[in-house]
Amino acid sequence: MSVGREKYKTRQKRDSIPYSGPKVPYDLIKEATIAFLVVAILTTLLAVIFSSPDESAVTIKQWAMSDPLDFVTTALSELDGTSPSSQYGPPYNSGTSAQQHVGPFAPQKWAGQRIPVNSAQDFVLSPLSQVASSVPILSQSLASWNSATSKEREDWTSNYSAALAKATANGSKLLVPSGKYGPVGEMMSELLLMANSGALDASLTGNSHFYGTDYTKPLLFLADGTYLSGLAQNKHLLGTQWGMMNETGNWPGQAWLWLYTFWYQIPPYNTSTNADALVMTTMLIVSAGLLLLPMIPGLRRIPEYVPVHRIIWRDWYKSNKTK
Amino acid sequence: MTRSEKDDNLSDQWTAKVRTLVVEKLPPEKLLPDTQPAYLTSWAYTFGILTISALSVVIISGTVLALSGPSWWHVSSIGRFVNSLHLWSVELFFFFMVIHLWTKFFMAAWRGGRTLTWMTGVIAFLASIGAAFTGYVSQLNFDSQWISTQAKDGLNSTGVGAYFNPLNFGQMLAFHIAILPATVVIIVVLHILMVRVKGIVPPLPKKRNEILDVANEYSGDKK
Amino acid sequence: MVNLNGNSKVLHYGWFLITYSNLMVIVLMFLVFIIAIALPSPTRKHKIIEPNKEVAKDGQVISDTSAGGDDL
Repeated sequence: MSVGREKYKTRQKRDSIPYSGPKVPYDLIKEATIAFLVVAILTTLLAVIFSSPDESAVTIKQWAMSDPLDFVTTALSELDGTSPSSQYGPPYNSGTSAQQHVGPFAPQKWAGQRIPVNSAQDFVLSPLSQVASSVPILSQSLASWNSATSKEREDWTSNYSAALAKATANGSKLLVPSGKYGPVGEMMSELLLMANSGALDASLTGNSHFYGTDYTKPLLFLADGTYLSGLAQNKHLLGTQWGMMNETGNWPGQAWLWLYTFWYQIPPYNTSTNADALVMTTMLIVSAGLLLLPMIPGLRRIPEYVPVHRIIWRDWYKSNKTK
Repeated sequence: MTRSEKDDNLSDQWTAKVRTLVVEKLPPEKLLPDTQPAYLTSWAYTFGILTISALSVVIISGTVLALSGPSWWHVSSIGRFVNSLHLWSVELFFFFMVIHLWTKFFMAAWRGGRTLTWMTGVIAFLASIGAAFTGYVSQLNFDSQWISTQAKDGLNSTGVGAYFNPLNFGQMLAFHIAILPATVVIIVVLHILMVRVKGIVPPLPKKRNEILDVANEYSGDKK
Repeated sequence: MVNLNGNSKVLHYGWFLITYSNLMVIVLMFLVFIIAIALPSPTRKHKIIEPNKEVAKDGQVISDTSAGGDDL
């Protein structure tokens, strides 16, 4: 056994001896009552002075009205399977674009597709089919989409995608030059109409249920566009802006996430396609380190080298010397 | 043994055994002591109770918010005020908890068989981060939309996202108002009981190489 | 009373970015920590109870055993 380790063991023994030295009177209940009152008053003051943030939720309607081009571009990418959510991978679908791993560990893949999302079906085709019965031309369009070959679909969507580059927004309306889009032009303009009227919000949240508590689908759709992230960027909420720590407006946010969000700013994390998995692994190791600190030789003795304890216990050290 | 003899032997009872153990580990004068070791001479010792106080305000304000459901505070000015109390008490809770963690770190407060006290403290901190996170994503506003769609990638990358879906409001609200607060409170209670069982940690030796000077001062032999 | 709505004000150097509100919280945390360890505690003026003696409020020794004391 090394000298240092022996000393550590001896110290452990003396630190665990039940204390029977000099004491001071100490009224715990009184202290707790005063502490509670102080904190309650402080909280009330802060609440009265600063209130709290409540930025309204973005609706699909608001998105489509203020940025119809981004809305239709996103909807088209859902339809042709190029959106982030349609290529995501587990837990939503069989894509791979967001599937991450650390070396041979691929827990995201192992967990499987537990929350199935079919972007084209869920965000475009099924909302449209809900209104198709009252819009004959739309039901024809959907029928022709459904019976088309994948080659035909690809031609239509890529033609429409090219046309969107020349499209102009007029308020909440979108003017797209005519072209060979098959049924896609009709489908997109109907979806935009639905979105502008607010019907798409209801369709995506409610789906076929009366009650809704799960917003996975509308949120994934919203996050596929650039409208939401544009708003977030203005508020310094992007991941690359240490956004996890920040709050809307000028309120303090989750400052305690500083270390978690820090990793996203530096290499190799900020350049990796496995950034999330790497950061999560790092935080797991750091948290385990904090948890197991008393058992980690070296680290557990840092406080002995940092003289903060000499300030905290200065009166005790002084009074012991005089004895 | 006859039936009555068996009944007479009460110390064999599970209940009696548990009581004996509890009273032995934590007699009333240890649970609610009226004195503390004379080395308790610093404001640094108040951050534990300040953290618990803030947690109490968090729970009281959260309970008031829960009484009227998750959308109330968006439409009522009283609700907004209670929400503000909830937000600021959470900020204070983390504020005091982090300082508490720093002071206990610099005291090396895990010494002398207090490892579990430290560990429950760290678990309480981590569980609180989860509780705060689920609160942010249950707000039904822009914050929750943005935070949940961002956080899903981190959670999904670990496989946890398949079971704990930040985009599922119902699940997040359940975690926020039931599962995680219960977890935090239980761990905090364990943490406090451990502090009471073991007592506050003795000072580190003033100089690193001193070992036994203070030990002689109050060795167990004096009892 | 103080309106915190509006664009967040941030400190931004290269890859480092922090909102002033978070910065203030963190700076306050350090300040409170430093003040807490530097400020003399009121408990240091409390009456010291020597081991093996239970002292009543008026300073009289009422018991000579520490058997029931809190073994901290």
